[in-house]
Amino acid sequence: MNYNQLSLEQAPDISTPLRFFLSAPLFAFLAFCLLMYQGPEILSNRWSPQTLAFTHLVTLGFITMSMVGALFQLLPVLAGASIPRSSQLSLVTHLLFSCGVLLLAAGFAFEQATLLKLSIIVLIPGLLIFLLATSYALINAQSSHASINSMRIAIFSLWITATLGLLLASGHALDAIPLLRQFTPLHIGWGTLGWISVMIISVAYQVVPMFQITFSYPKLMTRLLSPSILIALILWSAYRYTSTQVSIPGEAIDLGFFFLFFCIMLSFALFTLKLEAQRKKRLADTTLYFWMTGLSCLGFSLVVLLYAEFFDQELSILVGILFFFGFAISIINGMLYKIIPFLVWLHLHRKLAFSSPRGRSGIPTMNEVINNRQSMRQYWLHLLALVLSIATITISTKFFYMAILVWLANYALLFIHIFRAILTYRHCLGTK
Amino acid sequence: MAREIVLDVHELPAPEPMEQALDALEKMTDGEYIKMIHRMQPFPLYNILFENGFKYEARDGTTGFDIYIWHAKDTETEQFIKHIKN
Repeated sequence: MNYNQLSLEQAPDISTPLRFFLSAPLFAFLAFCLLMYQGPEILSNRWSPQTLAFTHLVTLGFITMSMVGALFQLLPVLAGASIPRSSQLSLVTHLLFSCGVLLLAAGFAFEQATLLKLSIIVLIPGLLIFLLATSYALINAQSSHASINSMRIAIFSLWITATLGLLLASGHALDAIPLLRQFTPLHIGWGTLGWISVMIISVAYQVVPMFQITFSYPKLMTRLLSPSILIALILWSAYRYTSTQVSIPGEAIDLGFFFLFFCIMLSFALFTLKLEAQRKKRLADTTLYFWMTGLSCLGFSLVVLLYAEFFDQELSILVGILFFFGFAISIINGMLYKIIPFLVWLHLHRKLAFSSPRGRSGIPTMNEVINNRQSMRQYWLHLLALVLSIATITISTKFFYMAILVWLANYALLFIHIFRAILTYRHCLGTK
Repeated sequence: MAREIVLDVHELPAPEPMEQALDALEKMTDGEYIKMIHRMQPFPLYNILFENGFKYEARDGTTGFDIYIWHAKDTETEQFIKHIKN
């Protein structure tokens, strides 16, 4: 088959994804400031409004913020799927989404229904613009490989997660709307599995072989993995929605789905680790360390989840730490160290390679944009913070403040690295 | 008959494929074209090609995609490439 002049539309401006990437560490920093203010008592109730504030600063403010920025950039790069007017849309989405997340977190943290109402008013258009734009781009994508199909599933899951989340937030904020707590597991399930996990899987199919020079994922696996998660989520949701009371057979069905998700995610983690162990070039960089840590934590989180389900429900906070900070955030953090230097490098080439008298001679390499030695320092901070957080849950809350201080230093350093990369870009353009 | 410059980049990590392509584009003259053997379609490169007076055609290849690149004004080479069978 021939593909003639497929992608002639403008690639997104560099500020389109970078504004999301630069904001993400700030939200994580704020999340840990909140945790510091609340103290270790916050660990005793995982459903307290303050815990919800922390969780949403992390899941929306860091994880979703980074993934939205990545989608604005990756859709044109990986799929030739341009988001129409991406620069303007990303600016509006970023503004509304940032304000919405701040209002939501403040509404929960200070238990203010007015702030929650405002957050709903701001988040609805913010999310809607992003979801409509990406859905349009994905429907019209010029490539249709497994990665794109997985992204379609991830975006579909975000539609569901956001709808359920807004329903739940309305229940908290408005007297007229009942708080439908039975939707909470569905909101968490679609968010963690359908949105976060499937999005990571879809990116892994492309970037693991592309940046780490491994063999490709087997076709059968890439065709089945994400659709299996989608089908299982739909069936599980249908069952959850139709069952009016939790009975013993009901719990067995829940457990059945749980085992299915367990097997799917574990197979992804183990297979990716195997690919990385067999990579063709034995180069190890910061991204690889983050990925290895992330995939190992995914495996551990699943095992601890299994143990917590049967023996010790208290360990569910540990599952959250391992899944969100150990798995999702490690992977995203590692990816940022590839995507950001690549974007700076790429946009400088687009602007200077053929038009500047100096040509390509003054353009820094990816490693010069963010040095591997510097990014490794942040990796060690991330790992130390992770270990201290696990110690806080399993050994003693004496580690609580130490863990938070390291997390704060970690996100400050990540912010500095991203900010410096932007300065490098501006400096190169200024001296062309 | 146009001269073919082969770039087999399918086992190179990003951004080396694009670096090699840009190196070759700087040296390429009329009557020459690049055949880039790649594992994926290099969409970011397409934008650079389009903005700087090059044309391309991507075809299914043995390792993923074969991307043919030539100067947009070089119609003879374009005709030659159209007649190359996969």
